[in-house]
Amino acid sequence: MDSEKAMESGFATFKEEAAEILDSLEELLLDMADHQASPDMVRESFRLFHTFKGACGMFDLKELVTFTHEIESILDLVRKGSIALNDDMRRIFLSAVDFLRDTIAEIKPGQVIDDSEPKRLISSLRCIVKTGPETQTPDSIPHQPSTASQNKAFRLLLSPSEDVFFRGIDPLNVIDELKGIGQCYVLAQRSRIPDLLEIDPERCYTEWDVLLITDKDENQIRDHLGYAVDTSTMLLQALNSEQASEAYCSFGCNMSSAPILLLDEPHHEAHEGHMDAYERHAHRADSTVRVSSKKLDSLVDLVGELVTIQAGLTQRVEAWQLEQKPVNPEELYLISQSIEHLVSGLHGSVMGVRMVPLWDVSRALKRLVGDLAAKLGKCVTFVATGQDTELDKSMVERLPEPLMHLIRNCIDHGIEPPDEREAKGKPREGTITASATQEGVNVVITVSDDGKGIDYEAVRAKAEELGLIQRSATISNKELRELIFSPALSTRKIASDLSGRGVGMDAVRKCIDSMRGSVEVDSQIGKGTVFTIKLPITLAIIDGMLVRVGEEYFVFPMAIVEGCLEINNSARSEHNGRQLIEYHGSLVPYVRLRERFGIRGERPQVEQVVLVHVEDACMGFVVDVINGKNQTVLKSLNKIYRHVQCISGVTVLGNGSMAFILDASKLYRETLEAQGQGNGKLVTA
Amino acid sequence: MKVHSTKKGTVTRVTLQGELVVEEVAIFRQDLLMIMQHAHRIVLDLSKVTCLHFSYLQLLCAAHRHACKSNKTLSLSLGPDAQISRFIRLAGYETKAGCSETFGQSCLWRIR
Repeated sequence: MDSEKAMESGFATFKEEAAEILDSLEELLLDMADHQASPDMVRESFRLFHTFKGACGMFDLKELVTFTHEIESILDLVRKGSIALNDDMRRIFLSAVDFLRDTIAEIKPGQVIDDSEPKRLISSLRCIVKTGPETQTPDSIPHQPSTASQNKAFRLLLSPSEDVFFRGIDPLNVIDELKGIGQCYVLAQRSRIPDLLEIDPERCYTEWDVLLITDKDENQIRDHLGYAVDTSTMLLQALNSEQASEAYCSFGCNMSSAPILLLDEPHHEAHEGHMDAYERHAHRADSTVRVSSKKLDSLVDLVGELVTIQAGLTQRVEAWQLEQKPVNPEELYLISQSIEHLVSGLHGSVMGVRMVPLWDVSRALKRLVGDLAAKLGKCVTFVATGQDTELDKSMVERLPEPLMHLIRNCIDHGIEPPDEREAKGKPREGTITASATQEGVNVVITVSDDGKGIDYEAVRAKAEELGLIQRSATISNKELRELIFSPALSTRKIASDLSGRGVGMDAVRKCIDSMRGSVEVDSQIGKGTVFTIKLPITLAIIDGMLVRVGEEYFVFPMAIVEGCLEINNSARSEHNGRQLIEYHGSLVPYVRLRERFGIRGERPQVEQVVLVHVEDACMGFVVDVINGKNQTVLKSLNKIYRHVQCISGVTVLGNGSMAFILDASKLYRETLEAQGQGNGKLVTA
Repeated sequence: MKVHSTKKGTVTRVTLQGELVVEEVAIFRQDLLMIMQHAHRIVLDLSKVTCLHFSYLQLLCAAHRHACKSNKTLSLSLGPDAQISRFIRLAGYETKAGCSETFGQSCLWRIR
């Protein structure tokens, strides 16, 4: 049973690591489109496919091993300069990554995999290799002929760990790999092999001494050995000509057959080519959800301190009970302060663990832009900035869907075809820019294009036709832009004919709303459109303002609270059936939560109004009592209550009672609709 | 993997057939120990082996050392197919000199 569990756990780890490798591969292949494939990038792709193959081999996933091996063979030709990597090949490699990712996500140990798609992809690749250009473009994969002057000698001492066979790794593959990059002389050191009576035949006792003559430099050799680093001790030494000759003799080689060696002392070649992309990729490799030991140490320290304080508190309580000493409020206050300090530290540390950068989202968008532009015959460049910006993990996982929809919108309807752009005096290639920045407790993400902008007349005409606005009504462009997010308009595919995708801009807004964020759009005819998404950095714990109505508690996210007012009978007023109060010289609409949620009981003589900033406007919510600031741990609503509108979650208060977290945006929009102003703002803040 | 043993005079011929995979190497060690208890001159015939895991080379080396210590002989018969020879060469086992463990005696991997 233990071995089954170990197998399950090992397989889960394999799936995670395989997914990471595929993510890195995808990014690398995408980078190749922007920067042309440098030798380093090709080598890194080869290494990643090779590592992936090795991992699949460990779990006996034969079909995947065969498929990856075929890809590797073709990449090897590129690596050696025999063929040039073109865009068609790169796309097929990306499709291969897609197939492998989907397969790995679903696969179970020992499962047989349908190899029809791999066969199709390999067949396409072979077709390109056969018919593709024999020579290369000057900037792509420079061929380095193995001339005598470039040969260098290296000696490698390879000592695999004894359990290497258990890990499914065959050390001879390393030697085979070295044979692929140069002339290789191998001597096995067998002195550690025990007698038959003592040997554990499933362990490796052999070490190897390898003399390698190659035109590759030390780093390139290490790249080839990369996947064996975890399971072997390796000592790679560059030899000068004298050392090389000695090594030659000791390996028992015939000197007349020795390749001409470089006579100079060995040196390290500087990396050349498109290192920016390569380095970015290397940086990207650790951008997964891993927790640094430093962060964990800090958490453990904090928990340790918390345990100490708790022990101290228990001692005091026992002393007060047993010795019947009076409770010392000062001591209690000090303990409470210490706990508060530690909990605040724990909060910060735990939130830090949950924060992940936006690299994965950016990669997905880049891929989408490339694929969709090719499909629609448009030339589009994707520029991403601020991918290092961190956001709560749960949001990063939900963000791709709305962002992808916005990008589709930009490509499908914003960016004009190349000829049309040229006629307008624009570059033939359109640009879609995605950027992310942290602004206080929010992350602001913008997606913009330099296309034709929103056709306000078309939006207006359709809105009139659908009865969303009255004909001849004065509607600003801003209000027309808001209409794009209206379910009626977007699901009818009017302003943007997002055919076949079954998701409208209202779905984007719903998704962003569910993360307690906001989405706005700005557009200039002929110049382009900008979507701005604002999201709170974290969803797990927020600063909230706790209020009470009757016996019910509610929480407003502190980030949207603008201020509070007292309201009595004389201050209330109604204008054309709308409830308004004066705030900083403006009339602000308000809603009484008691009425909205049907809470029984008498209204107090003096009520409180919480003024919140929502969607560029200000709105008041009338409550009985304002309890003050509260650290709110968010919990999602039970399935039974999911249909309840305008509540985004719940939290449990210190006294054990429950408080509802208000969705101010929904309440605001609901109020607009109720007051017949569905298309405009009430008061601009 | 199939292991078949025949005795002709003083020579015991052990024929291995098929794929020699790492999962079965421990079983083969037991087989070898049993055979070597009773035989004095052993020839291991690898000519019908289609595929060989590296762990078997180590095991054969260990068996040869055991044979030398026990004053027995162990030799290999590779047959006309050069596949196994190539594998031995790739693994760096092929040698012009014997190893220190079996000094003065025949070496399983010496080039003839």
